[in-house]
Amino acid sequence: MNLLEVQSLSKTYGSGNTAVRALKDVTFSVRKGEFVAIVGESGSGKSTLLNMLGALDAPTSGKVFVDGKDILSMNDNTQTVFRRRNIGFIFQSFNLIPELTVEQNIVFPTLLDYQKPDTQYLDELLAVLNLRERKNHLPSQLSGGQQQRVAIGRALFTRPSLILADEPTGNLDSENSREVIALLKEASAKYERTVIMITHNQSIAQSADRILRVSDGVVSDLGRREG
Amino acid sequence: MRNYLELAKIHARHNKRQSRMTVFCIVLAVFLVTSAFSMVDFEYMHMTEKLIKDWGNWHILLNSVPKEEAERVWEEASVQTACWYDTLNYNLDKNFYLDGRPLCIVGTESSFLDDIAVEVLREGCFPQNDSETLLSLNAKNISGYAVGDSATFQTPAGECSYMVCGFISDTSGSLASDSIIAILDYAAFESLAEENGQVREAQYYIQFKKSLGIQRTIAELKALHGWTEENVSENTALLGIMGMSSSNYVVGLYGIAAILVLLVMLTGIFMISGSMNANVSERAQFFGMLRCIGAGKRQVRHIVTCEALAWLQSALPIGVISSIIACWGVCAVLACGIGGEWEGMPVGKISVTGVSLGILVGFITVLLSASSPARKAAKVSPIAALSGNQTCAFSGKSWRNVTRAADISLGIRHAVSKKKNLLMMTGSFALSIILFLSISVMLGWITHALTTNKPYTPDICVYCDGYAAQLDNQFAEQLRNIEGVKCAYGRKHILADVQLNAGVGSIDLISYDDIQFQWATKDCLRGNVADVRDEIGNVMVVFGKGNPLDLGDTLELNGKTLHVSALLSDSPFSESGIPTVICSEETFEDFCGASNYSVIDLQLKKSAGDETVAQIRELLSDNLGLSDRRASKTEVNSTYLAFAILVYSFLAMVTLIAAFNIMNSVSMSVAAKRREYGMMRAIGLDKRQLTRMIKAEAMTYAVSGCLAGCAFGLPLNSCFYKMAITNYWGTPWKLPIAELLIIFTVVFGSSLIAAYVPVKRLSESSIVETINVFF
Ligand SMILES: Nc1ncnc2c1ncn2[C@@H]1O[C@H](COP(=O)(O)OP(=O)(O)OP(=O)(O)O)[C@@H](O)[C@H]1O
Ligand SMILES: [Mg+2]
Repeated sequence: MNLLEVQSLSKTYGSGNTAVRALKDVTFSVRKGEFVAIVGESGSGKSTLLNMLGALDAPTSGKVFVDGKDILSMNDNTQTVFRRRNIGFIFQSFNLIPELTVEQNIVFPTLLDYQKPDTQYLDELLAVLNLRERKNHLPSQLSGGQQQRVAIGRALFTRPSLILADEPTGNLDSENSREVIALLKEASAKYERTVIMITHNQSIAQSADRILRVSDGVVSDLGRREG
Repeated sequence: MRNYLELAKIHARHNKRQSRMTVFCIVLAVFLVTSAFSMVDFEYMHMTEKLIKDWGNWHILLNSVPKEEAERVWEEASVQTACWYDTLNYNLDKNFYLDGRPLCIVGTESSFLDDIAVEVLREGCFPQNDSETLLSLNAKNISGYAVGDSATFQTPAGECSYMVCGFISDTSGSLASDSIIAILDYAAFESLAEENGQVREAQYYIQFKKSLGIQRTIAELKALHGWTEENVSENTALLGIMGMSSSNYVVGLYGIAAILVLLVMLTGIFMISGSMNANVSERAQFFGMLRCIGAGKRQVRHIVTCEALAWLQSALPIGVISSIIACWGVCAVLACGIGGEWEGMPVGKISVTGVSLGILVGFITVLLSASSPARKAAKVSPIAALSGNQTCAFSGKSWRNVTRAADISLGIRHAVSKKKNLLMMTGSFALSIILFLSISVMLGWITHALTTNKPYTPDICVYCDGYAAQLDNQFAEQLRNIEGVKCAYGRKHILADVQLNAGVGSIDLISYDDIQFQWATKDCLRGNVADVRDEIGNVMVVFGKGNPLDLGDTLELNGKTLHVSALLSDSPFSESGIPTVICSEETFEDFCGASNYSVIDLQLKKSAGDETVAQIRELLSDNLGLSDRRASKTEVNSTYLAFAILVYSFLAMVTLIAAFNIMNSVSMSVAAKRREYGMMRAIGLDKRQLTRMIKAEAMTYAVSGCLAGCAFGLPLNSCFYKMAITNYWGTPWKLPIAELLIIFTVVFGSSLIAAYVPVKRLSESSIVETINVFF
């Protein structure tokens, strides 16, 4: 069953002489529970693609279906609620709320949904992310790897079906990168989440279930790993 | 944490330092509004009390209404109390005397003292029968009457005796004219008036039950009884202060307070929303992230609004409490320090209106200020979360070799390059200047509109009946020797016909002694007062509309020539249409022959009291009069002082707001560019160069702000000046150079200080910190 379906997606920035065709008629689909890595040259259109998948930006043409719903044709409010419940984001620069503790950062999206945080799930997640001892610390008191793990926790806590990550290890050293990716993989496998992640790191890409290559706005499928 | 909005509170707690300026802004706004309205409120209470004391607690007065018709108002349900009131010899121009002192006789009913002139009775009670009378206190103090004594009134129709049954307080009028007031029962009064054949104009005082809807009641009464405007006079002062009349002092005060509130709110909103807007732009990435993790636009708006409201938590108590304390202080100073008409000022009270208005204005200011930044934050696209690495506008050119001129010009270019920013900054600087220039007109107004006690204003005047010249030097010496008299100075006076430049005219020739010359020196516009004092034949004149004489003119008196050799701006004498000419005593004798003083003025020592005045009285023979000016002097003094304090504190606040607004704008603009400055430091700009650059930038704003401020502020200033001063006193508008200097100093000074503070913080923090501060 396909969780994500992208149909002839195109994006052109600007117009006339300065127009940049960042995405050219992209079509592909992702199965539920898949761990997908997106690779490609700098400026090839990876981030542009990811932004469309998260409905952060509007495409020039084309459609994106998540869980069978056309997310790009929704109005802003519906999009927000949909994003809140179905999509988790992980950023290169962590983007945690500096004034909130680890625990508060993780539960914050639930509060935005006016829900009561599930404390049992929170404990479990903190254990998986190896952040139990740190739950009352502020982001500034954590290392980069730890901060990114908090971000992963935040992305997972609302139980979204799709997690989008743009170079989540871009700001980390290789040791931390490996640890974070391992956790991301473990968590997504445990809770059956679909992950789409941009990376420049060859070995991380290799560890994914499936690799998509973007070059000059065109997406080509490098195939699934057997398993 | 239960609710996402708690984030706002936590954010505010963590960013106290950054929002200190904003919190101070709110504190200032709350403080000013609470204080202004509390003071007006206190003044309202005090005035109501004072008006009831001075004018009586009545609402309307019926004139020339037939007795039966007037008394029928008792049937009206709305009437609380009513009584007859009439006077004999009110103007002291008829022959009514008590022991040689002019006597004013009042006839009324007991309810007058019970309900209307409530604070007047000092001793005893209202006359119980036709043969009793109440006297004003000076009859007791000066003539030694006591309750139970018999007092014999001299009336044109002959003598009649009454028994003194009590005393009422003096008025400043009765003290100045040295007259006595007597109150008779209305029936006794009527028969006395009849005996003397006086035309009577009885008045009927009416006090209504409640203070609301009085105007309607009055209109109904008029319609019912067919009374005209002439029949009904209103106690405009009391009705006015109760808000039942349109033009009056308190409505004016509330108006001033309302204008102040508006100004404070506008400036506050301007400042707070400015700094919040800058803050929101800095945190675009944060708001983008919130949108990504599922915050809706409305939620983002709420978070920003709540952040602003969180400031109120600390700002409101500080503002309100400091204002309450400040008001207590001001009231205490007014009531105890200045005294006079401020004596009854309430101390230690809390004005509910003031405090609630302060809180309300705090809320409104914050909510209005937050609305635009909140909308701006809500508009931030979720993509902003991803734009982690913005590129800096400055490329890798080396800054190491930048010369002094270059960093300054860079600062100026920086200021000018962003048109919108320049416009905002110029606008905010100009607003400060315009505010100051408009309000400073009030300074000119107090000097013109309010009379103040001059150094020569006497406490006591001694004069002969008809101002005949009968007071000799020896008498003046006697007065001087009384314990408690600080100084005594006499004036000789003659109404003389003189040969003026172009024809014959009269002048008032008045002589001064040394001490009066000394005081006059301060009022000298042109010429030399010492010449007038030392040389016979020299005189001085007072500048004014009715005076044709000017410096250098000559006049002929008794065949000799007088030279005008000094021009004064002011004198103790009121304008009478006849030019006042002042000379030395020697000149006076030389031209008019030896003569005595017509008037001797006395100033008393601070410690002197009524016993000194009694001693002076003992020296007076029958044909000498005494005018006690002490009460009116205190009244004038306290009014002037209070107004001066009001105007100056108002102006000080406006200046403070102006300076604060400027400092806030500059530091805001620096804070917004902090990262840019960090980048510049990273690529080689040193601290000194950076300082110079930021200062140059601030100065650019100051110059453009001053230009714009003058362009709008000066026309406003001249317009207000013409409306408030030229129209009444004819003084033409002049360029307010002193005010301009002051406000320019404030503008440049505060922008330099404002530029210095963030520069210091920038240079203290490391480059990396500065660049990373907003990641
Ligand atoms: N807002 C924009 N306006 C104009 N052009 C844009 C915009 N965003 C991206 N582009 C262009 O679109 C193309 C794709 O950009 P994108 O950010 O998707 O690249 P990327 O693959 O993520 O690169 P990197 O690996 O360096 O992050 C680039 O040529 C870029 O210049
Ligand atoms: Mg990218």
